[in-house]
This record gives sequence, C-alpha cells and structure tokens, in this order.
Amino acid sequence: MRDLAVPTVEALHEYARFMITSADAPSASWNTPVNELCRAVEFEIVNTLGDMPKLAQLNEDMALGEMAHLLRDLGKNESANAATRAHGLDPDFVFMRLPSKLSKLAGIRRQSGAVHGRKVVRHATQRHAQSALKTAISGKSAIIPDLVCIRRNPVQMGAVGE
Amino acid sequence: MNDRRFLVVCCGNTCRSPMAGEIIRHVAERAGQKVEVRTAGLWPQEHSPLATNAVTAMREIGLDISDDYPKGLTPALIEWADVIVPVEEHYGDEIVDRFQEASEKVRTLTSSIPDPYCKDLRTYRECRDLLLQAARRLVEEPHPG
Repeated sequence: MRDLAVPTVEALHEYARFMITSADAPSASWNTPVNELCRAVEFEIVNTLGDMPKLAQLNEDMALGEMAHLLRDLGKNESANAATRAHGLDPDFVFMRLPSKLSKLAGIRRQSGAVHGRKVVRHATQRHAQSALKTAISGKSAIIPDLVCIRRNPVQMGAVGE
Repeated sequence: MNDRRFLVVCCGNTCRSPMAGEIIRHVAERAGQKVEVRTAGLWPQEHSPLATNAVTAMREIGLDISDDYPKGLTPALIEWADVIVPVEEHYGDEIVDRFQEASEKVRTLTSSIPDPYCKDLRTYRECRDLLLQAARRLVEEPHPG
C-alpha cells in the first residue's frame, strides 16, 4: 500500500468499506465499488505517469476514457515515444496496452451506472464490480499492479527492448 | 409524549428497510404506540422503484409500501431519529462510522436479515415474517420517555 498514492489508498479504502458492509447485499447500489476502483486507477495513472513532461496533461483531472484517448493520441507523437523510452518504459505499454485496459474499465463504468439528466437508468451489479476489480487490481495484467511494477522496476515491466 | 421516531436502514432501501419500516409502524400502532417511521439505504438504488416482490409480500398482509422509493442516509435523517434501526447488526458500524452522533441511537433489529433482492416471492415472505418477529421485539422494548 505504501507504493500507492494517498488518494488511491483512500479510494481503495472506500471500496473496502463497501465490500465489508455490503458484499452479501445485492440490493445495494454497486456503483460505489465500481466508481471507487475507477478513481483508484485514475489517481494511480497520474501518480505513475503524470510527472513525465510529455504526459503532464494527465494531471488535468481526467476520467479514464479521456486518459485512454490522450495516451493513444500521444502514442502517435515521436517525441512522446522518445520521452517514454528515456524513462525506461515501453511505449507499447504506455500508448497501446494501458489505454486498452483503461477503455475497458471506462466501459464497465459506463455500462453500469449510466445517467441521463437526474435519472439513473441503471445501477451497477456485483458482476460489474467483479469485472472492475479484475481489470483494476486482481486480474492478470491488472492496471494498478502493472503501474506499481513499472514504478519499482521499469526494466521488468514494459521496458524498452523487452 | 412525542411520537417515537424510527429510522430503518438497509443497503439499497429497495426491500428490507421499506418493509421493516411499514411493519414497525403497523406493530407499534397495534400496540397503541405513536410512532413516526422513515427509511434509508447506506448505498441506495436512488431513482429506482422498490422491489416488486417486496410490495407484493407486504400487500399480502394488508400493508402498502408501493409509494415508497429508495433514499440515501443523510445527517438530517440521523438528527431526526430517536431510534436508528439497521436491519443487519454490522450496518450499525457503518452508520456510526459515517455519523458518530448516531452511536447512542442505534438499536439492532436482529443480528441478520438476509437481503432478498431479486429472489422469489417465497424468499420475500420469509424476510417479511422475520421482520414481523423482530419488529414485535423492538416495539416491546422499554424506552425512555
């Protein structure tokens, strides 16, 4: 946990509070755990990549889908690719694999808690929360463990020349 | 003597707390007690209707909750209530975690009433009957004032 940003830990704490209280309560609105997992990923993206000069836009309070879009766009820019390599990171990871996972998580949030005006047309279910958990934390190549890994050792995770 | 104010709390406020609230009101009135009852959810399915089977199971015993709808737990509700009744014991911890001032008001209805959400009508009837038993115990409890 000490490797994570403080807001990431706070979002995961809110997620855990929900799970401790409501894991056996399908009637609860599962938007909360889905949203908290998404927020944790958003914070951790900023924590990991936000200080790279070419990726500073990530600090601008972006949602997952916007982050994915930005990273894909930046991937077309050779100077962003070079800056990423200079940080010891694989541009394929930062500009392709990571945006793909972010889009997947954004899709889960969008499907689960769509809002039109003031009316919530549907609520997330346990299944949405499980999918979000897999993508964010617990699945193979989940986003947050990958981000922690590249901070600890960029050569092992998505390093240039891998 | 003022009416005793009960706030019943579950997770989604779609089934258990609306059922429990109406049952507490009914049981108290039959016992000659004046009460006011409101309900709320810790993580409510706001803007959704109550569970159809909850409405049906209650209608079978002559109680109507069809006009109720899911609402969130607010500081105003906590302040309003004399007695806060979580339908599961451990929900009380979450309530007090959010609103420390609630700690003196929480009275557990029973240790656990499983969430019947999306289950069949038989499960809702079982839930209703558990709530009836628990409500009778709650209303019979001596209370100050």
